[in-house]
Amino acid sequence: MKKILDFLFERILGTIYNLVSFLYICLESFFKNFPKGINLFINTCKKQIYFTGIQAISVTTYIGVFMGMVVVTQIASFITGIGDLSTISKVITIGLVREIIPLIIAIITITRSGSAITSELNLMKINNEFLTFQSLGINYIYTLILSRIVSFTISLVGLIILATFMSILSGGISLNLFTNIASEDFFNAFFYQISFFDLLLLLLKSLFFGITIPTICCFYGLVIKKSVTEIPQLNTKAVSRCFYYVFIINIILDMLVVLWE
Amino acid sequence: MGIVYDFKNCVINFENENIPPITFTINEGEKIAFIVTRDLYDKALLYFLFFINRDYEGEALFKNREFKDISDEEIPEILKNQIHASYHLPLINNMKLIENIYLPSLYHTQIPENILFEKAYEILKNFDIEDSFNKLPAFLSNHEKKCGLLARAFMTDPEIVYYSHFLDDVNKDNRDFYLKHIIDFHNMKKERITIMTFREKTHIPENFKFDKIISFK
Repeated sequence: MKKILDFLFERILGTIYNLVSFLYICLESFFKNFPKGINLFINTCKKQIYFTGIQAISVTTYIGVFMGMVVVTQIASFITGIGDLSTISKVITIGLVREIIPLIIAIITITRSGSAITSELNLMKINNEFLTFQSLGINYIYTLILSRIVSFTISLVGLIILATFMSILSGGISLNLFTNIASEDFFNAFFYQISFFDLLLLLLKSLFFGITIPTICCFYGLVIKKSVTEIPQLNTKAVSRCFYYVFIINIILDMLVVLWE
Repeated sequence: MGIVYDFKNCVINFENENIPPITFTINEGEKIAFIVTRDLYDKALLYFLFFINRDYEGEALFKNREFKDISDEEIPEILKNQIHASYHLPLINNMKLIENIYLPSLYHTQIPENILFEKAYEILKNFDIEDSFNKLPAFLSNHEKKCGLLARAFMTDPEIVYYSHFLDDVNKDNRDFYLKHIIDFHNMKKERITIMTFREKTHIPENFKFDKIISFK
């Protein structure tokens, strides 16, 4: 019992406390310094949105299309005979829109962008580049770290919306190709079934994943001490923590929305 | 000309090393040479003057205020008017050369980035390295990196410039090239302080008259 309580308080709550404090420090530095350095803040945001968002459009589109084709046709072929088109749409909304797409896209951005952020910040710290910023009178917490968090969140929300759209579109088209269900009927049933709570859950997951992932990655990017051998270790820690907290947030948000529904 | 730095038996505590005490004053407009026989002394002095490390004993005044009495909120305003050219605090590796040059101005001023870009490009032309404007520091030669550090200093137009071992370990042609730019830059502003560190007294250029030569003993 003591071991469970120690694990709960020290590991989980301790980590959450560190991450929330870190996010608070980033936000505080913004409000203390704004509008000074806003040009550098925007410059960093643009670069991060390009790397995390724009460069990931193609892979997100492919994932959305393939997930739509596979999931929608599989669900349709399983449910046909048991339920009607509205049932198919409801299952797809819950399965694809609420659960699969946000998680898959979050996982892709963790491995693609999250690990890159951690490595980049690790190297900057080892090379004394943060001290360079400090010696130039530049607040790097606000201009480099918070900008990454903000731009990552914007990118992830955009990518999840894109993937969801592409999956529904490809799902409807593949139903027409591989089953006797017309695309138009599927789209009509889908838009009839989709509710405010589905969209709310999608948006909340996008936002919370978008804030959590870069906060964790930036945190582990800055804790490196002096050795380059720490880089892969911190990278692994950052990625595994991201997966861990993304799944926890996913469960909590699902439960909250279900209770509210 | 007013006193800017006033150090009396100041011992900088840095990385648990024994750094000898230093006593000096620096007035506006002066050219100062520090003879630092160890890189550690150069790094300690650089970190101290640029408020990265403020752990010291003795007396160290900046414009009549003790270094430890200057609050964290005041430091960015002070650092706006001083710049360094040092390998201890290098160019930012994930920013292109030209971005490194206008980085301080991008942060401290509201001037749009495109205007800063043009100004920085003109400064690079003075060093004949404008073709490398788009390169990351990892792809620059040592000469281009040094020119980049000089260009960043010139772009900021500060009152205090710290050149760390800038003329040590370079060939005669490059030495004369850097020195010409440093002298011209110093003379552009009457109150500008130029601080240069050297490993040995023999590295001090003959055609650049320093007002004071201070040694770490």
